[in-house]
Amino acid sequence: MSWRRFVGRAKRDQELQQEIALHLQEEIAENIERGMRPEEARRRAYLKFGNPQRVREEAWQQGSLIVAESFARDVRHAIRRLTKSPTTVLTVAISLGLGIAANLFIFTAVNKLVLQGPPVGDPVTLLNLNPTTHHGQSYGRFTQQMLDDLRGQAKSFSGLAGCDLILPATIGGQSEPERAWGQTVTENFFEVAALPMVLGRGFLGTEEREPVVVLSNSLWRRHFSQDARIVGKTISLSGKKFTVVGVTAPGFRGINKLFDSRFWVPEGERKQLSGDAMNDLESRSGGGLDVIARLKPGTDRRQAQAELDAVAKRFAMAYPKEDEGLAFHIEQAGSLLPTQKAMFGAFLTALSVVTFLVLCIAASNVANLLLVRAAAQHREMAIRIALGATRFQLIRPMLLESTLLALGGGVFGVAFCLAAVRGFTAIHLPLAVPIDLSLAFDWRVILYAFVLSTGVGIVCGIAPAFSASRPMLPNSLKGESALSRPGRRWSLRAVLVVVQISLCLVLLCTTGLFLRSLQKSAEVDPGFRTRGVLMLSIDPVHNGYTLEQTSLLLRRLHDRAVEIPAVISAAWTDKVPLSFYGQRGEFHKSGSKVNPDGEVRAQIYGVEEGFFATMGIPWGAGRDFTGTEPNAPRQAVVNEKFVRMVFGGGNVIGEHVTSDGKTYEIVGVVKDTKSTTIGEVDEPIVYGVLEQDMGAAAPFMGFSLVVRYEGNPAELAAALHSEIHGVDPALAIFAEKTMNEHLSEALFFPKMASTLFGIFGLTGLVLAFIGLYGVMGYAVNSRTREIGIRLALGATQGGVQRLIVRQGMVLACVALGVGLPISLASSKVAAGVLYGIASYDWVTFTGVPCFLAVVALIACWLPAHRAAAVEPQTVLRHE
Amino acid sequence: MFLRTLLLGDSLGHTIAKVIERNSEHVLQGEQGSLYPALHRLENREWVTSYWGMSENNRKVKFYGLTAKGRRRLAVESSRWLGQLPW
Repeated sequence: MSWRRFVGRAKRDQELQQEIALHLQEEIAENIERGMRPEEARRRAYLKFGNPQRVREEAWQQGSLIVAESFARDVRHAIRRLTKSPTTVLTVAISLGLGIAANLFIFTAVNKLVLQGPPVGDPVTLLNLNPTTHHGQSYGRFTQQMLDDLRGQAKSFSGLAGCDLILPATIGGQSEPERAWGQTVTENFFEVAALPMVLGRGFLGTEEREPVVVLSNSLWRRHFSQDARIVGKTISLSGKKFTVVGVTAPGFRGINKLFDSRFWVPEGERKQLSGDAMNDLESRSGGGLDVIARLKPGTDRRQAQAELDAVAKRFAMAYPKEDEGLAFHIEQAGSLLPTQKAMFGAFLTALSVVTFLVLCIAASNVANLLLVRAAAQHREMAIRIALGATRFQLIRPMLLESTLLALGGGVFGVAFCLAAVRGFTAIHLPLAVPIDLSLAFDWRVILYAFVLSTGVGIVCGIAPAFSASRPMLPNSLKGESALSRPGRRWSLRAVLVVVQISLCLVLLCTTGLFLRSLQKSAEVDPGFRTRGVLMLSIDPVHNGYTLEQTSLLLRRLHDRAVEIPAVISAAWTDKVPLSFYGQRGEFHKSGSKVNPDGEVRAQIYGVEEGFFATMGIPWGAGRDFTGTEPNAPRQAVVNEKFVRMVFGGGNVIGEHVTSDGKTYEIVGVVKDTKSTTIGEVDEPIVYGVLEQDMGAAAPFMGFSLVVRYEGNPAELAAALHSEIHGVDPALAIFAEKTMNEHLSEALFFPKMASTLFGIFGLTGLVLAFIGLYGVMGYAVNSRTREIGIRLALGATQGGVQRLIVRQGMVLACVALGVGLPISLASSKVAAGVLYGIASYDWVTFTGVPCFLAVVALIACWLPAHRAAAVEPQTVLRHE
Repeated sequence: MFLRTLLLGDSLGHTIAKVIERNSEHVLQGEQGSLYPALHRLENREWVTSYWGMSENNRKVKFYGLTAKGRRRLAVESSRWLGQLPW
């Protein structure tokens, strides 16, 4: 059958009309020749031909697909009906939009972490390898030695490359020096990954130890103003000269999905940039290399895994001590490890449940609205049934209408989600390492939105469509709605509203709990001065300084800072408290036997003399450091918790403790302070002298100067800047803020959680309010006659109002009763994240239900007020 | 049957109707109008093609003719019909 018949039907119909006319003319002419009179000739011709209209219809139908045509007709009707009620459409679109947007947002995170591959060439054949021990329980990383061994032995791969842990560097250039994080990679990394480059190329096989660098697209754009001739230019990285050989395509931030890398240099140059000895050539464990491998064409993963298993066995036999129990684990390149997947999986699942609840609330509203619309159409339905429509023919247009509405909501949802993703990417996480917050918004998200909207549309539309198409003819034609079934206590709408309010209660209670937790966290006394302190950080080691030079630099800068009039005191430290990271060490009393269980794990700080005065940490006993040359006996100040844990209390001044082979003499004891997070139980802390311990591997976070000041912080910051750049203009200054801001950042995660739940909770509240208001309004409308009778028989207006409100509040109370146990249960789940409040916090669990009850009261009272204003005469006359 | 009529040459719709009527000795007296949908069906199956041309009276009329496919189809149908005869 040719498909041309569907096209150009109108034209063919016109031609057919001409043909028919001609045919009839011929026939009439012949009839006249046979001797008939003209009228008789005409009549006979027409009789013989049949009905021309019918002929045209038959020909037309041959060019039509009945199903498609009636579908298109239903769609047109639905659109026409919808455009007649714009408020409904808008309400539904926005409420569904919000619900769908929330779900889409979580999906973009899932998309990024699970579904999307890295933007490399041919991602399917690129794999991530990890060495595992303990039967695959713990995942590690490769050392250079093991990678070299593997390269020699594994034949299934055309190339193996590695990328090391991220490290910081100072990017020099025309503008202000900037601190950025990047990776060192093996020289064949770009070749194995087959990365598309915007400018230049990756590394060549000969460039293992050449000072070359590849920039990321975002760094090139921001710091180098998209210079089109950057390739071949020399830039300074941490004070050393590197030549730019390429710029990556936008969107590539390293193979690892969690971190945001901005530049890549060959592995051989790592010591130049950071001086750490982490990638020791001699060792086989404790490495930091993330290995990617390209499968040879024709090899698949199973073969590769089999070969790797054999290689692992060989290694275990050759190096029984280090490689015992070794195995290799294969993943798609850029995927998360199974442990990471589990962690994220749990988190995202919890969030998905919450967003699903919000969507349910929105969907209940939509279902209610659709019920109202269906009720308004009951006469039309009755007539159609009387004329012979099947149930399906009635349901289909209604389902179509609800699906179209839902798709409209989906469009809004996509728009809201896009805005949210943009906003999320711009969030500044107060963490020292750069986490990649970009979310993947691509065709999968749009497909998901489409599927979700259609599903919601059908689900929401089914119940109203079914109940409205019930063939109760006599009642409908008389004017009653098919939906009002006398004698039924609980209508579907009431049930939906109860569900809405309960869900809303759960969301708002969770919000309340998080807000209270936040409030308590903000009230915590961290143990040090919160006002009048400014801090900033520099990283001399990653700016090209040696350790001795760093020492001198810090001293010089300290002296110059103290000379600024606004400065009361200043001190260097390697870590500011409450910065979400820290170093730890195992301590025990010097001289006593080393007992692993007796070792106390304490936080270690490296600080300068004057730190405690600047930070306002009160003394308990002893004094500050004195005589702290780098080679003098090590001194330490400890906190009271440490004293209790190691010595059991008492006077410890003059005592010695040992950690990792180093012995410290305790010269002072300070009060406890918060160290890593604000919600923690107090930990033992050891403050060492910064200069004495600088020999340890250079901390990645640089050194922070804490300054106690008077007056304007902005002016002080500017003054400090000029002092620092007066000494060395190439030093990058970062993490500059007041202590207030720092503390506020420390509360980042509770704030985030409260904001998130707050948004969801409020959205749910607005939706539930609309829902309850709608139900009560509808109830009032359908009972106008009853109200008129009551008023006519002597009821007071107040009495009528009370009646309506009471009925509405019954719904609300049932909802609260149902929702409260669920909220209590869910708070148990959230208990792990809350701080400072019991999970059955009575303030939240009485406050929120009362708040909801008040809102419900308003939602009931408004229609009740309208009801009581009804005129009995008008109503009783209204048929 | 239409196909056979067209075997002799392209013709107008009206002509085909008359031929059929005559050949079936006025037994097949269906409505003449149903000719046209039938012709359209045949056209959809690409057994028949149509084109506009000039009649003897210089009027614009539509001619129908067999396609190669249609000829083949006719041959198949004829052989089948012949095969059903009792000899």
